[in-house]
Order: sequence, then structure tokens, then C-alpha cells
Amino acid sequence: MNIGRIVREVEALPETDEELLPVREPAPDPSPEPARQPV
Amino acid sequence: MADVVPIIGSVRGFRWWRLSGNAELLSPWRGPVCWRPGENEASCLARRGMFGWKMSPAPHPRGCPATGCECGFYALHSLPGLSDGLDRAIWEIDTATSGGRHGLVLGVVAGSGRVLIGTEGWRARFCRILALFAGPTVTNHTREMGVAAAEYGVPLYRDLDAIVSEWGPDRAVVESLTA
Repeated sequence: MNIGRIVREVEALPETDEELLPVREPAPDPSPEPARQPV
Repeated sequence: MADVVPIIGSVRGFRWWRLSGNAELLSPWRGPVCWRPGENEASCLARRGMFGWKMSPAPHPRGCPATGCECGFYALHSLPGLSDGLDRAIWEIDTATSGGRHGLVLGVVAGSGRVLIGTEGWRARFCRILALFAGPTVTNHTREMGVAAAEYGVPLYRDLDAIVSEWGPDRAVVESLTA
């Protein structure tokens, strides 16, 4: 494809998080703190 | 050329792909480079070897696309024009034939990262497919296009005006970038 005469150079920063990286699910806490019993 | 200008958001453009026969979209004229769903990163295929295009022996200091090279993902600011002249370029194909017997598919992409803006289009480091267009003629490729659109997670349009208005480049943005 011929894009014609180059007139500008830009650094295009994707606008949304979705465009940046896949959203990662937070990892489940492997060692949940045991429920505290009332003393 | 002036300094690099940061802009918020990707740039959009129109381009063609070739259907692989297996619902994959390939760069039609240099490659075969198979596009992936989501973001694709360009590499420089500057040399043509006996068995096809090869990577550049030395990477560009600032990556793809380089001003002195032809690398990067390409797209046009406007729909590819149709020319009957002898100097007709290979991409100047009737948009209504997208998905036709030639197996080429028209669509809209978003380019990001380093982008070289030209008067007619751009070259970008990163590119993602946003939408595809199937012309009115139903061919053997029509079903493959439906599968491809699903695989790439993008909508498939049968109405050219609709894909242009909903996904095409914003004319004001194009004018400001090319001014």
C-alpha cells in the first residue's frame, strides 16, 4: 500500500485499558486468614 | 519531519487481508504474515529471499516502522480507491468485492505505538483488527469470513456505509494528523 508522503510521526497511546493489555483476574489468596474467634 | 507527537488513542484505517482457507487473515502482499486476534506487533520483513520475505538482519534502532524502510502495519485513511488506469496499484480493488472470488477481505484496523502518518495512510508498530466487511456477492469465502470474524472477535458487516461510519477513521482526526 502506498501511504503517500510521510508528514508526521506520532506515538499513539491506546485510550482504554482494554486496548493496552488483557485484563488479568486477581489471583485468589492461597492462604486466607482464619476467621478470628471472639475471645 | 517534526518531533514525535504523542496522541491519546489509536489511529484507524482501512486495509485488505487475504483469507488463508482456514479462517485466518494473512497480509496479502508481503508475507505470508498471519494476523492474530487482538494486538499484533510488526517486525521488519525487509529482505525478500528465495523462500519468501525475511526478517531484517539488523533491527531498526527505534524499532518498526522505520522511516527509511517499508516495514510496519499499513492502512489507509480512506477506502481504497478503484482505478482502471495502467498505473493501478494492486490494492485498488472494488470494495464491494470484499470476500469475493479473489479471497481478499476489507476491514478496519487500529494502529498504535509508533505510527508514521502519511498523506494517504499510515504505518504502525502495533495493529488490531476492529471490523470486517463482506460484499454483497456470496461466494465460497463468505462462510469462511463469518468464521474468521468470530475467531478474531470482530463484527462482520454487509453494509459498507455502516462499517465506515461506525468504525472508520474520524475525518477531523485524519485532517489534523495530515495537515
